[in-house]
Amino acid sequence: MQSVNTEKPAVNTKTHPKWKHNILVIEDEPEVRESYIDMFDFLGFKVDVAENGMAGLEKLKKKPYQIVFTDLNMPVMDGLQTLRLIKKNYPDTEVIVITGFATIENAIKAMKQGAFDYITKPVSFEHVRIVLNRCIQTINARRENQQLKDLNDRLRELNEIKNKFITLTNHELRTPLAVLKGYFDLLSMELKEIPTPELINEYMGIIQSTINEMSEMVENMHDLSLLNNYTQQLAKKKYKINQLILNIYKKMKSLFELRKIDFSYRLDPRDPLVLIDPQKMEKAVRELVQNALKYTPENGKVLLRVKLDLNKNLVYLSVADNGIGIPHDKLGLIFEPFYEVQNEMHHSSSKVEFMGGGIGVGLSMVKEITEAHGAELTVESTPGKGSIFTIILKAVD
Amino acid sequence: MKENKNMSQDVLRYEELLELLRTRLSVLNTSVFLLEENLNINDPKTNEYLEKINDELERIRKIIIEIPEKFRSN
Repeated sequence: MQSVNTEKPAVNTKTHPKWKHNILVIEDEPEVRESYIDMFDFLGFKVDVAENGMAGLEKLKKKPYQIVFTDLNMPVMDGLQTLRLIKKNYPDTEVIVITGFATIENAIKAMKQGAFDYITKPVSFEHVRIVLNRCIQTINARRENQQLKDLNDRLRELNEIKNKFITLTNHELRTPLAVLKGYFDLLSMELKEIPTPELINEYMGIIQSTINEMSEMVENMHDLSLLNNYTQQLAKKKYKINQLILNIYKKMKSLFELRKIDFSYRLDPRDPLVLIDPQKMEKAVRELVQNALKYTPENGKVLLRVKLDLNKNLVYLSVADNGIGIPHDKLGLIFEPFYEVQNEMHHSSSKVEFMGGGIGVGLSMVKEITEAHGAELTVESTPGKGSIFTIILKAVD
Repeated sequence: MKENKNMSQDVLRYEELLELLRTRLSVLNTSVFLLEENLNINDPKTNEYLEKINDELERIRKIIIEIPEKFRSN
């Protein structure tokens, strides 16, 4: 045997230390088997041994081996036949053949039949280390791929469950909630007839607001199921952005009148063109306007504005309010699904009431739609003074 | 890759929504129970309404808790 470095050569098993790599060495000569055991021990591996191909296959039946080293010239069953049977019955097991120079042709033949690699005699520690290292990396990569595939399958399965649940519950939950609300209203009327202690009124208040919250969640479920649609194919076309603002203004001004909020718009006189999916972009801007409506108190102001910057060739579409604003430490969170600024402060039932509830998917939807358009969404806010949300789009000719 | 990311976010949102619904249902159950305990009256109408409210709560519980579990086990 040739001299070796006294420094223990490391085999890279860092990827997944928890993954075991069982190694089997098939070699007919007892002394050679012993030397292989010592060599692998030196490299940091405990190996099992078998004296011929037949005995090796028996061992494989009883225990999974990820790597098999086999000599080619052996009695009873030679290395090539052993290789064929291993690859046939245990395709994931990697086989590395050990061969003398005289049988190099057989080694090449072995490679053609699926061997991972071959090692020539006299066996070099360094060569074994390199081949083993590569083999382990290959096995780990395969396991990682399998894990990713399994995760992906699980994700698809969960997505399927989600779709089924939302389809079913969006319809099914409405009925019991409506009945619940009906009986609760009857109960409230019945209790009005008799004197009730303060505690009862408190419970009634909690029940009322909880039923409202749940109804709101169910109402918003379809938004959730539609969320991923926004990143799918957009039906983009050249569109005059002033028109989009006017559409939204007409549809929403009555809600602002109800809340006694001054709702106005300012269009750009150059009437800029942008490349957008008008329906989806309108949905995004409506969410921003609804958000402004929710967080602006009575007698407040909300301004919808379009501005073209010719130098930068950009169109700024902004929704500004003088509402409650967003605390600076919360600015990074508002585009996360299910985040609502008022969560810790207030609960209300309606989307249009001041600080009214929702399930907090609105702004994350705006972000997804904006990103799908390759546009930018910015927010400036001062607590107590108001917020400005701006969608920045490229102007087109 | 992008599709997986979206799907993963979507599933996360669904799990969060379920969690939210379960939390609200729990608040509702507790409040109705306490209401019953504190009402302590023999008015048949009140009792009838409370019974119906409990029936509906049970239906909602089945939808929110049992249906997702059933999908999973399938």
